Amino acid sequence: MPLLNVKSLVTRLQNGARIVDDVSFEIQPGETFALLGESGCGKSMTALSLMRLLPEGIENTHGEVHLDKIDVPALAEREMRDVRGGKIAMIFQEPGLSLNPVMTVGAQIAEVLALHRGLKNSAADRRAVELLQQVGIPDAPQRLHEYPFQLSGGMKQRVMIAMALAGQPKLLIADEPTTALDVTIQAQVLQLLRDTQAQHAMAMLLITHDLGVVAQMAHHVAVMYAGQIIEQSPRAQLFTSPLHPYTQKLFAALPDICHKGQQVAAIPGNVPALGEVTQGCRFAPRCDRAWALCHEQVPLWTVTGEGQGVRCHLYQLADGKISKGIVQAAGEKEVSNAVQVTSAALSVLKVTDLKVHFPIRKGLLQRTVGHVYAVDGLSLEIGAGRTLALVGESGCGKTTVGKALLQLIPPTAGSVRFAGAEMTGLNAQQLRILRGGMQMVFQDPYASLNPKMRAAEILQEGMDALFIGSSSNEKQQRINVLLDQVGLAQGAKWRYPHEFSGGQRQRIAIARALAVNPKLLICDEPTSALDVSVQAQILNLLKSLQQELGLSYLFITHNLAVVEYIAHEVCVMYLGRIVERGNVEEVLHNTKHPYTRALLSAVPRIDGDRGGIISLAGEMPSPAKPPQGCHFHPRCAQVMDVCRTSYPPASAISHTQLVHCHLYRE
Amino acid sequence: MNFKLVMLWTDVMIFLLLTVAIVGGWWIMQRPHLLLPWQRLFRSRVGMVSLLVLSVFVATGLLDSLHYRVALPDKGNGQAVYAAEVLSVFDTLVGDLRSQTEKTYSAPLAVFLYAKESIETPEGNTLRDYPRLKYGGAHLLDPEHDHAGDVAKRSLVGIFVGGFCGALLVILIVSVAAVRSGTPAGVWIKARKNSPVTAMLVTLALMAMLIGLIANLSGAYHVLGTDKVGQDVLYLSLKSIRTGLVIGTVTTLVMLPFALFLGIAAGYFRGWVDDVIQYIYTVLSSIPGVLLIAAAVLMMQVTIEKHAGWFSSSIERADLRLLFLCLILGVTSWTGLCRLLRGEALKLRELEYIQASQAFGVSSLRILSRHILPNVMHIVLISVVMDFSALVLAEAVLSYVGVGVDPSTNSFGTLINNARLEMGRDPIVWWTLASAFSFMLVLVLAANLFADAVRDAFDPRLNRTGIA
Amino acid sequence: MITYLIRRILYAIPILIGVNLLTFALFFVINTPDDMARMQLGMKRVTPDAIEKWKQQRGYDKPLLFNSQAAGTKKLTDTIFFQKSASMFIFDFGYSDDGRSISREISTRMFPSLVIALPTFVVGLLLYITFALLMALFRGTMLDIAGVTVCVILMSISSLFYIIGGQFLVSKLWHWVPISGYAGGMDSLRFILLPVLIGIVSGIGASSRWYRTIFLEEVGRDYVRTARAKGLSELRVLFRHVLKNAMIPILTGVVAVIPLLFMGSLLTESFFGIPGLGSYTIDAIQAQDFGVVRAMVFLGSVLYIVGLILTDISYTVVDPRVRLQ
Repeated sequence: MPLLNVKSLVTRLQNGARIVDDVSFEIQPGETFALLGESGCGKSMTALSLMRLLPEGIENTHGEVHLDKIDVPALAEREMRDVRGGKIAMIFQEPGLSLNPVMTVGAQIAEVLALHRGLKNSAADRRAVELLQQVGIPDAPQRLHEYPFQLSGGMKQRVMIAMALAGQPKLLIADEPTTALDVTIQAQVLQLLRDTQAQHAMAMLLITHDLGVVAQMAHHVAVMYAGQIIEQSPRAQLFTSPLHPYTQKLFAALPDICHKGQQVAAIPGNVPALGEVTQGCRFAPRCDRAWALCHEQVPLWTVTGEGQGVRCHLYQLADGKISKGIVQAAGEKEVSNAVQVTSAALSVLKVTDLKVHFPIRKGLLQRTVGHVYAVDGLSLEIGAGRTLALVGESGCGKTTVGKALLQLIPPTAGSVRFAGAEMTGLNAQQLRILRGGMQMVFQDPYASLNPKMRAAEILQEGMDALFIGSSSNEKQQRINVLLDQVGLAQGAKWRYPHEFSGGQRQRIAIARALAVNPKLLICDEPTSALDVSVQAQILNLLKSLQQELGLSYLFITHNLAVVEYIAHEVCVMYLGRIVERGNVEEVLHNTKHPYTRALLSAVPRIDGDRGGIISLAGEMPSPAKPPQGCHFHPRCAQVMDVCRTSYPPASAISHTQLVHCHLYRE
Repeated sequence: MNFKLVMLWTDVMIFLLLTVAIVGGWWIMQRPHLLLPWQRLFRSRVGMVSLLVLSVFVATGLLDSLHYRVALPDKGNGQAVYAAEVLSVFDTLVGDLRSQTEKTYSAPLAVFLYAKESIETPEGNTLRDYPRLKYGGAHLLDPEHDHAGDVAKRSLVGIFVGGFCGALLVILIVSVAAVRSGTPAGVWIKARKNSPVTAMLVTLALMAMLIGLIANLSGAYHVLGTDKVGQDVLYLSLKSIRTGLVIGTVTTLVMLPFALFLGIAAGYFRGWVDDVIQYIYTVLSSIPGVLLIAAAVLMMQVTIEKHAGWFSSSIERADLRLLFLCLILGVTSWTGLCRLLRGEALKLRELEYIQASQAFGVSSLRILSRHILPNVMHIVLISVVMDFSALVLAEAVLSYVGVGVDPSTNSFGTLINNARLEMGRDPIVWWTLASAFSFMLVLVLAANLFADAVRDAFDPRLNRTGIA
Repeated sequence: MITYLIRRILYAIPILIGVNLLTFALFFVINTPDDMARMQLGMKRVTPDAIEKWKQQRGYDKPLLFNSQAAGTKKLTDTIFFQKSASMFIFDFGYSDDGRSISREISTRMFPSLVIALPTFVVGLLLYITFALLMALFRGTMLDIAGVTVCVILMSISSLFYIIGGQFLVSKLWHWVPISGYAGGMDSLRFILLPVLIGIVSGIGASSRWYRTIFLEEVGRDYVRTARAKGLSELRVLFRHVLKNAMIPILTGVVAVIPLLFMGSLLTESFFGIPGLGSYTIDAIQAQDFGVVRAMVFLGSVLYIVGLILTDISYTVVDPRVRLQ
């Protein structure tokens, strides 16, 4: 007897476009059911349809939803309110926005307790404290009277969970619960979700785009694509033998620590826009195994085993037999990993003791009372044709490093030598000469292109500013070459950014940087805003450009999986300083620093191996008040007395690997 | 007929604005992404209908902005002499409406004067009675008996003729559009059953009827009565439209460069530039608007009095005062937009495409003009349209306070100001006020509805499902 | 917090100096006192003697900025700038053209202004918020659309119409209250009823619509979705969650105008013959009494700046994010 039974759920926009199309699934009591899919596939809308909380302009047209024998769509709004919070609770992606900013944490929890448990006043307070303690919030009685803004992101998500638990729901819907959080915090929250689920025997509908999270959490998985569930199976089966070509591609496209050294296979094209109606299979335009039938007929749901099914013509043969489906993801080319250029390359960029401090002003005269030590004595070196990955969690100062190198933020101290020339302390005129050599690719493809300029104008801007190409004819020629290099058609030239998808925009952003013949590209999280399938395209593009043009990259990222794929050397940053550096092999597989180890273990792995997560206590301190001694000591499991008093100097592990940790001092 | 063109300062401004609008329209037509929000606007039924109503007002105002002086009959010495009176094309079009003045008040459509007078009968007696109007219903032999019938007849004829012309126009538009799209007219109309086009055509027909009605009646009557000195109120109200439009648009033209440049400069450069600009607009906005305007207008009056020799005619003087009023209103009203633009520029400067330009070493001026300016234009447009109605309303209040337009300039404010004491009469003289307020209501309401449509179409914050 | 406030108050000083310089330039530099005198006394047929006398009466016969004939500090103090502008900082506004002390006049006229403006403000605010909440509760329904339409129509009507129409209807036709006038004490109730009513009605359109926009903006936020997911009813969501958040922009916006209530309303007071600051100002403008206009400009900007500071304080009171940081 399933707890939740959804049959043929359809949700549409007012213009008739189906954003959730014929979705059916079951969730057993105590089970975690994951809805996996890329952005815009309709997974959140499915959840909101279940809660009957769809935004205005979107309506739930038909379908059956049974929760514990309750016919949910048939309930009156008044009865539905008992279900919300009481039977089904929900937590959301942005804990910072999902809590009421002007109500105390306690009051927000008490609301649920009063509504669904009939608890009031001191009884409610006591229960709220219990709940907060349950979700691992220290000093719960004090926190009760605090406002959400006084809590960190991870704490806010814990409060959301406490609030969800308050009504003792049978089903918890978690909509991308950890997407907005750092890896180490994500590990904490996922652990908490697992523990509470086990304790309360609660079922969970987990909505995520992250295969790693699914691998760790789910019992049963449904993969969504463009509004439909295209494959459903128990976790183990999905990860060992995915059926649908899309799922197979998704696995192949994932740069992962486990997929060491392999080239990731990108899925061509883009996820179709919300509600874009297509004939035939929705994945057919991007599928390399599609044949005529796929473009004409919508594939039907085919049951392939116990609790397992797929929506693909490959499996929909007359006898229902699973035939050629389980061919290992075809078309996965073995591209030689030929990036191993001269390893002792000349240094392109040499940064010594870079510091960026922002003053904190206070008081009557706005005197400087302290500094935010965003970057505090950072040194690094990048060779020609090499990629250096700068890894760290949000707030560690890695983006500031990128901007300071480009002199977009003036460094407080230190030296930045680019191709032998010192870049700090130059005036705008002198700097312009050096500008062409170093360029940047930004994180958000939607904010990095001016919506009012055409692609060609965007590409030309840098050439105009740096006087590259004499005649306009020459410039146009160059623009054609650039578009070709990044894999865009010539027709893209006269189109505006809003006509491109996220991945295509990122290609334009790369072309813009390339337009001025740089030697070094600073890539600031260039793929973190993209879907997995598109991320692979961009990573492959960057790699092939490096081979072609001999570029060097400073690759700033929080995603360790990407690091292994793209980088030669790695620097791990914590609170404005580098704690460990070395070749990829050394840092990722012969990890020394406790922080790097924790970081690595916190990444959810798709083999589902949860063993040996080194959970970090607490969160990164403010860079305005870095702890005494080793910055990491308050969170370190192997902390010693010396760590509390002195910052560890560099200890060489090999002639390339350095670590700042007292554990490795001679 | 010989005439001499007269370009008043506000005329120059109005036609400058018109040119800017036309050139801007052409510029936008060339750029599909700029056209996008306009297409959204053109899909709004309320917006397009109000635009149609507004355009009638604008047309009246434009006709009233083409000024000239008629040549007087040649006295034989070969020298062309022009009349002192400056007329506009509008004056010529309405013809007798301007010149047919009665002695004093008369009610709308009346045939008798408002007040009793001593009349000499043909028998030589004098008796106190309501005298016949000189022009209003002068053709009626037996006004007591024929009046109502004549008004009804003329109304019907007017509506019919107007409706007929309107229908012709609609048919013409539909057939031309149908031919151009290559579909039969019936099909073309059916396909647009719920689109603003149909609503606009219906409005067009209705307006044609209304215009026909008023035009036909005003040939023989004072449709909206006459004022204290016997001037036709309909004529005065129509003449006031131009003043309202000038105040609503020229003010904007004056303030826009300040607000735009200072706002985005403050937001983009920050630091001391920001401090100085913020200081300036805080000082200006800390003085209550009406008082600052009052003070400035008082000073302007002193200056105008002192330099009476600057002006060759009283209309030029009144016109310059109108222009100054626009200037002063502009100076006091730019601070709001400036603050808005500063905030937006602060947000924009942190965007990655600006940083990408900075990484190329693109100059600040170029970043301001290529990146920031185009991306704040929607705010400018929205606030300009929103301000229009507020300015039209403000003119009335300022004129009442005595710091508005010159008393000789026709405007809603002067109309109301002159008429408000008449409410105390018995029977009350309500028609001047009523027509001034009605005209203003229609103008401001149309402007407000249009402004709403513009905001809906241009504001990127409004969530639009379906355009992902 | 305290230091922040002190900084704000200190910042007010350069602003006031700026206002002062601006009005000084406007009143005395663009046109000389001679011009003003000539204008007041009539352009033609004015003798130099009459001008001198006019200037002497008002103290405009001194040099503008620097008096080279005076001795010592008097070189600076015995000037128009010092006498007429600098003295405003100690709220010494001098005398009006009819010879009365402006400061005194202001202090006696403040009260009637407040009697009209305060009830208009308070009752109006409550009414507008109620209307806006109703529209937000029924958003998207016919009731909301009708409400917004009525608001747009109401805000398209000139404020003069509300006053003239209201006076005509209530006083002249129905004889409910006197057309205009003012009396002290309880008697004033009769006189203030109509102006207050008209003040409230004329603001309904614009304010209700504005507050509705604020409410709807809050309704679209994520925390509202959370509140609904808890199982709260729509009414509870609106009153417990949305109202609290929406009141921050509304209250802080409203606080800024409270000091300006002292200034009264120009139109209402002059139409209803209320002896407040509004009618004082309008009379001065019509009589071209420069001294009074200058005083009111200065007073207005002082009150505006007080409003700005109050806004900052009110933020710290209603918004925990500002209060606790």
